[in-house]
Amino acid sequence: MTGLPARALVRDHRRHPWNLVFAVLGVALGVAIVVAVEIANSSASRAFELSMETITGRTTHQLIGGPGGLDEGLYTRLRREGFRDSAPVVEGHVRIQGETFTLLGLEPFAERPFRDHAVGGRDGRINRLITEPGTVMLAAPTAARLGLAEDETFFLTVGTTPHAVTLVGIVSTDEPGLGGYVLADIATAQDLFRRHGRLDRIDLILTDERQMARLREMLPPGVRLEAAEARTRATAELSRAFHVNLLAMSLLALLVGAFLIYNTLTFAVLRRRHLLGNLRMQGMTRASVFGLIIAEAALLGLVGSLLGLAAGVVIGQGLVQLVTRTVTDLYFVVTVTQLALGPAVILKGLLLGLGVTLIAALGPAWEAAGVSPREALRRSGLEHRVRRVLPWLVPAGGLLMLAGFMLVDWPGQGLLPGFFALFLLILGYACLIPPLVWLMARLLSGPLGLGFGVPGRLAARGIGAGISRSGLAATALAIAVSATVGVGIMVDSFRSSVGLWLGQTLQSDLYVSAPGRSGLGVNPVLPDDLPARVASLPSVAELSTARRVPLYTPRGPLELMAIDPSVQTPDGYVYLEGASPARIWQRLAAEEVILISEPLAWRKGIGVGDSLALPTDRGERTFEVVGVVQDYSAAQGMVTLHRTLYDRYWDDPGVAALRLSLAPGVSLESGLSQLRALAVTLDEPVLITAAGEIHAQSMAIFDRTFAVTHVLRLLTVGVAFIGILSALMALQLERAREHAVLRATGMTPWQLGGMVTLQSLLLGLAAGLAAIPLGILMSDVLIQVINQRSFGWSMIRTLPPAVPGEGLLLALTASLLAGAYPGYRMARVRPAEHLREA
Amino acid sequence: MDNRQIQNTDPQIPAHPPALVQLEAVSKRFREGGTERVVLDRVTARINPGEIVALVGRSGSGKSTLLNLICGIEAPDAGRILVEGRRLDTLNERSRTLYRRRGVGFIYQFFNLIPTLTVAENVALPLELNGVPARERRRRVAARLAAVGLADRADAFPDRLSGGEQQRVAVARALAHEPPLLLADEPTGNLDAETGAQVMALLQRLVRHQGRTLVLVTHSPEVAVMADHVWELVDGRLQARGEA
Ligand SMILES: Nc1ncnc2c1ncn2[C@@H]1O[C@H](COP(=O)(O)OP(=O)(O)OP(=O)(O)O)[C@@H](O)[C@H]1O
Ligand SMILES: [Mg+2]
Repeated sequence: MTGLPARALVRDHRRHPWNLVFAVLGVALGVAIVVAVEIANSSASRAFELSMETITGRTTHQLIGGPGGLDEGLYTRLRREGFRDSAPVVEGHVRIQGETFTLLGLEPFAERPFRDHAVGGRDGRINRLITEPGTVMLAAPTAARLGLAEDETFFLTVGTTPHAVTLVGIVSTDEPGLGGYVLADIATAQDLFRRHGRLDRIDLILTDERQMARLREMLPPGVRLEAAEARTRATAELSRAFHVNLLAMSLLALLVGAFLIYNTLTFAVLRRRHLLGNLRMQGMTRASVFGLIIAEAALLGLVGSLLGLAAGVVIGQGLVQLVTRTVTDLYFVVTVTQLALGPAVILKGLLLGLGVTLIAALGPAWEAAGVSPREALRRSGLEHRVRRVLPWLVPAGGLLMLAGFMLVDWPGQGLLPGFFALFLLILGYACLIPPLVWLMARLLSGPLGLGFGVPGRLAARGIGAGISRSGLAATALAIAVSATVGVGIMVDSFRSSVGLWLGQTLQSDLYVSAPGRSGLGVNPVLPDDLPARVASLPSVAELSTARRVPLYTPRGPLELMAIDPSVQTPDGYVYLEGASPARIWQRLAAEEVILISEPLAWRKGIGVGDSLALPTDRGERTFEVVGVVQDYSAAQGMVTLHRTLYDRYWDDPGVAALRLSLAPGVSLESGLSQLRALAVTLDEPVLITAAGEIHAQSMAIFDRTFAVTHVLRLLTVGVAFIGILSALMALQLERAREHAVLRATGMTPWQLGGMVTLQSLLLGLAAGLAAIPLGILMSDVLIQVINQRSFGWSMIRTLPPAVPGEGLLLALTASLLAGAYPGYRMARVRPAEHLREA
Repeated sequence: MDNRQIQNTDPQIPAHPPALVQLEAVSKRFREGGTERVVLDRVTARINPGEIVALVGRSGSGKSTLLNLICGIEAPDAGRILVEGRRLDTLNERSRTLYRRRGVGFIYQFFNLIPTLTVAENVALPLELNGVPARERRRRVAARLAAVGLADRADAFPDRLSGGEQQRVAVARALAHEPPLLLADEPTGNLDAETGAQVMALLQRLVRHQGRTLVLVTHSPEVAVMADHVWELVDGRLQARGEA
């Protein structure tokens, strides 16, 4: 039934291919970004899940201790008491060829009930693993990736110390979960990590309640029995905020994409009003016109989504590297050996692309169906109507924004209101842009006439006269640009807040720390006598010690920081809540009280005066919170306590870091060289770092974290650019006939080209200027709602001058390019060509 | 001619053969800014099947508006419009569209061919919308194009045709689905006198030959001469003028 009408519309696209190409590209890029982020996120999560599945195996419960781990004797006692299904584990991080792996020390003979793919087999290789020290096994794909063959000896770094180990076995499995692991005998692991006689945990298979009760009876204080699954889940939760944040960025890109699609489709409808009116005149019903436009959008959405999927997979491959690096930097070690490219991702991408396109098409399709047959007879009407609507857009936009502002303050931790608030704010602001553009065009008409003569005046007038199109183009442009401005400001604010915090925190001159990554059971420590020896150096004025360990609480992991301050009230804390620093530290030293970090306070909804229960080596204890401090270092939350309190409740005498201030008059260089001289006399390596270096390293980690965001921002700029180009080009090409009339009435090609370019630039300028406040607003919501709610970090919004400048430049460049092409074409084309087109 | 055909007030509907179109005290106003302009003021008229009616009047007198009312793209503010005895003014949008699709053919001053469809496709469009099967469609398109003398231009796009040729395509399209009623708004207004006369002659021949009814807006006395009745719109009222 609709064969010929559809053909008429399709042929119309063929005559104006730009519009179509840009629309498809807009959908494709939007989908590509979401799909890429989805692939990167789910690949990282999936890799983590798989590795946990493989490593957990059939374990149902785990025995875990405090930061010091468990005594080996507990395992022997368990076996003696008849807990046959138990297996000891020592684990820690090692680096091979620059890549971080988790080394698992296992007891091969106890493994069989637990894990299939680890070292459960009983062949000669297992014997070597047990009997020969310094032997390890790797999964086949990992060995292949690292280029290691059986019996090969290679270096494996623990902290900063390389150890030669021999690969005695390659586990032939294609199980991807094993990819990030190095397997060793428990004794080898204890050797490597210098944890003789200690275990990190004991895996158990417990099925009945009586067994569990009996086990609990015999546990020493500080040793806890936990369900394996709960622990895995809690660890996975750690990186959730990061993934959510990425998702937010990608959705923002899609939102920009949606506006562009809306814009392109609306243009396509506006351009074809005459054609649609004609079809209506011939007896096509409103419903069929509506259906036709929706079908057209669906096709466009489908093609765009398919292209976007393909591009998303390619981009996702790059993103996954960035994402895993960040997750490894900040949360836990994860090795991605395969992309999560399941049907779910593909379906999601397709549905999102198609869905967004169809929603964006509803408005234009409605508009198309509303085209009266009279449009075929007369052309005015539309602009008239739009100009009548124009003043109403101001209060409508104001109301939408008001609703958005109210939603921003919606209480609770959910992100959904935040996203919705962002959407309302953008929509509301979008309503304000066309009236603004119209006003600007009116105001500029005079000055431009003076400056450029008739073409100048016509350029300004053309914007006002065709406000239905020019307003739309400016709006699309402004939203696209504002997204890049908003994300740019957000990242910069984040970065400066972290920088500021680091500056306030790193108050000591030099830092000495034990190398290695804490996180799993193994927490690096400094030699016992080092604090005293450093303190006795003449160049050192003050010295405080720190011990930072992960603590697995039943409600998820957090970090514990035990401080032995050199002075009564140490510097280096930014208090968000609590009494005076002096009073806080007085209480920390004397009472059973703690400081908590901002994300922890946010997540648990607690503050000064509340109390927090922590598992200690003496069982669970409750501590009062006396202060909330700023902290960007531990996403999972950090508890700071006095060393005396730590020693009272945890059996972990080690010190991991020294913070020292140099005596007056001692230069950093001489302080450093004295320390280095001391360090070479030690058996174990230590890291000596100046505050400035730590600052730089931390910022580097930060920048790595936001590398993904930068990539996303660049992609959003791409979407924006395409949108701008498409909107402005559609605007100008649509005027071809009008321009032909001008040419015919005596305008020179140069004048016309100049006019078209000037008009484009004007719109670009208006949109670029309008984009800046919107971008700032967006960054506020991103910072105060999305980031605050997902990470629990507050930050100060900065206004880096470069970012709005970039936005304006983007708008102007795009509009110049977009205006130049039609300008060039109009100047070249013979006017008769366009006058003919009925 | 029958003077009762045109009455400005209080029509008594006579017991006549059923009219194709009947207007009863139809009024149409337009509001512009604050002021309201009465374009048609209680117009009453009937158009019998097989007649050619010419509508004349000064520019802005409401001729196009009257045509729009008859084809249902505009609704009257007061009065009744009956087509083949059925009320048009009370139909909903969809029914009016279907009525237009089946019952009316149009010809305009600016041809209004669809630029992205070929000549043959333009003529086929109303047939397709009316659900005529493809084979029958091809046959009729060929016949109509032959009738207007454009059989050899079937695959050309409209912008390659001259004005007169475009208008002949419009005539073929308007007659393609054999609608009982043809409406033409200044069909020769955009053509030179000679071409206009040719198109008019063609139109008249086809309408008479197929027994269709034609309402035609024109400024040209020569065109008006061909009509059975000439009605003039003056100050929103319809007046019969000296007829041929
Ligand atoms: N949609 C509308 N809104 C406002 N005024 C309208 C509308 N349509 C028509 N008019 C006004 O109604 C009057 C009659 O218009 P119409 O187009 O019927 O005149 P016409 O007799 O066909 O004139 P012409 O010979 O110039 O085509 C005109 O003054 C016109 O401005
Ligand atoms: Mg008219």
